Amino acid sequence: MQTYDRDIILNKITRALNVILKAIVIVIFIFPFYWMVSTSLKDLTEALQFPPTLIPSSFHWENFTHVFEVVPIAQYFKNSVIVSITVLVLQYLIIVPAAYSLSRHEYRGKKLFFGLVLLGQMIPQQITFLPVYFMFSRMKLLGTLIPLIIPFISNPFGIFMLRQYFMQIPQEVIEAAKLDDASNMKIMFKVMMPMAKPALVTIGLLSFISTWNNYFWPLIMTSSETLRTLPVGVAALKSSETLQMWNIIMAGNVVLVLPILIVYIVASKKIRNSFTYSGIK
Amino acid sequence: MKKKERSASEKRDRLLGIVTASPAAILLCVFTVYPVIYLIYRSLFSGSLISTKKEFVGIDNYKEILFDETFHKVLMNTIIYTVLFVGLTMVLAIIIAVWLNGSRQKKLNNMVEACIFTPHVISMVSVSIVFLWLMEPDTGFFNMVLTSLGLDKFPFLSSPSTAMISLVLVMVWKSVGYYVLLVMAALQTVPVSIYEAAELDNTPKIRTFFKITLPMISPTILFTCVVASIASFRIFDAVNVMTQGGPVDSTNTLVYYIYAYAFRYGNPGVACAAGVVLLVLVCIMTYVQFGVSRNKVHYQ
Repeated sequence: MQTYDRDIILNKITRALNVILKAIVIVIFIFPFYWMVSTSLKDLTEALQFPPTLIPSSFHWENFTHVFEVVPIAQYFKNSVIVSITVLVLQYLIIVPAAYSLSRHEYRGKKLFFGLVLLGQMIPQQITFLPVYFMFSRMKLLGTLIPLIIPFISNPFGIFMLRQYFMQIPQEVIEAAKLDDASNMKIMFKVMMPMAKPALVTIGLLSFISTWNNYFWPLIMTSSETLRTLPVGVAALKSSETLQMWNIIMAGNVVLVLPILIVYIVASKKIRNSFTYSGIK
Repeated sequence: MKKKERSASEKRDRLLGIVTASPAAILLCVFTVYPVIYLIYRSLFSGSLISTKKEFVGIDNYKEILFDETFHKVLMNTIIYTVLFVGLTMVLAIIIAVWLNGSRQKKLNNMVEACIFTPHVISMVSVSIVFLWLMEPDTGFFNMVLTSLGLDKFPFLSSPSTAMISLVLVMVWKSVGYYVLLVMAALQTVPVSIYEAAELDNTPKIRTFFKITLPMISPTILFTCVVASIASFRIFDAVNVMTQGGPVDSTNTLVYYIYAYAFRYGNPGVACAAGVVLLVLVCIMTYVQFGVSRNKVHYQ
């Protein structure tokens, strides 16, 4: 009986310890975001004050209007939205037929094409950026948003993943549809697409997040301020006339983080599953 | 007659396959195959970023990086960064994943997972700026906490001796959640019956971990390590936003070096030669990755 009691107490202590440790972990990962938001609402003296205040003594919403005045952040935001949405939509036009072709057609060169898709997944932007920069420079396209869009619409990871999905659809389903005299188009839209919906959603989410967050590519491919996307614009805040004005920098940062954070809060589980899937393949 | 009909439909099928594949194939050729070939070709020329004039110089660009002490440092930094990042991230990810997997507070666990993963979906620029602010030597939050505890200030990114480890910590903070998820997915594949057997034998938990859990998930861990290493070679965003490679090149890494040579020093030839080095590194690691993933299948 005695040992039984002790076991219960021990159990309770482990559980309490577990809860405390988990709370600490949560704080470690959430605090920097909290600090960003909190700083963005302070005035400069309070932002730099010692000891720091956890909650701003008064909310300075004008920091946000200020950041819109010092840099054309509305323009950056617009560019980011245009690029992310265009990549998202256009890529489906490219990758769906490509994946269909890889999973349901036989032709010479198919293996070569699949090799291309694998190569596309393997070679990172950090290797291709200089030649692509020269190419767009020769085509005089560096003054447009095209270099931020076209290279990403043949999303090789998307082709790879969709192909797996299409291949899992039993051949009988398609044969049955063919017997019903369904056209290829019809099979595509009425049979394959609905069955591959989870993959299409996953690809869309991953593509949107990575395009929105991409810093390296737009940094290289945009020279004029009017073409910058949010990550490039916000990173530049740090070195412009707002130097050391951390409250203003953080206000800009909030504008960059918020859209993705909202998407993440709404579809947290789905997004985590998507990333896990893409990591295991 | 029938045979002819079938071959006609087969022909159509083949043609349709080629037609549907071609847009993607063309794009991949233009933005992957051509750049790789051009990178190698361009590394043999001198010239500037703006003008189209260039001169064949053979392997001079390679000679230049070979004898450039900064380049040696950059390669070392990239390797040190990769080893520290992959090592720390994987150890932490395994500990957190096993811990979460073994405790039953489902709702709380889900929250912990969601929070740890959050930085992974956030732009590297945002994360860099927030940590630049937190790690600010004088007025940053971390040093304020340290001084109020009566400890010395820590220089973080402002000193050559601590900049690299600070960079690694920021990157680990950003990515560990992703690797926790991957390890947790691997843990799900371990059959419960093995654990039950171990429990019946009263095997201590630590022993269960080292004798059962770790060996069972090690193929996945190895695979993940290789993939994480390839990703680490490409580190750029955090370096460019937080340190610009400094102080005194202590955080200068391969991609930053390539970028700086092309766009700061206006010498794309040398940048391309360094790019070829990155290409070789990625190819070697991908080869290893395929070897490892074959093993992974074999184990299961």
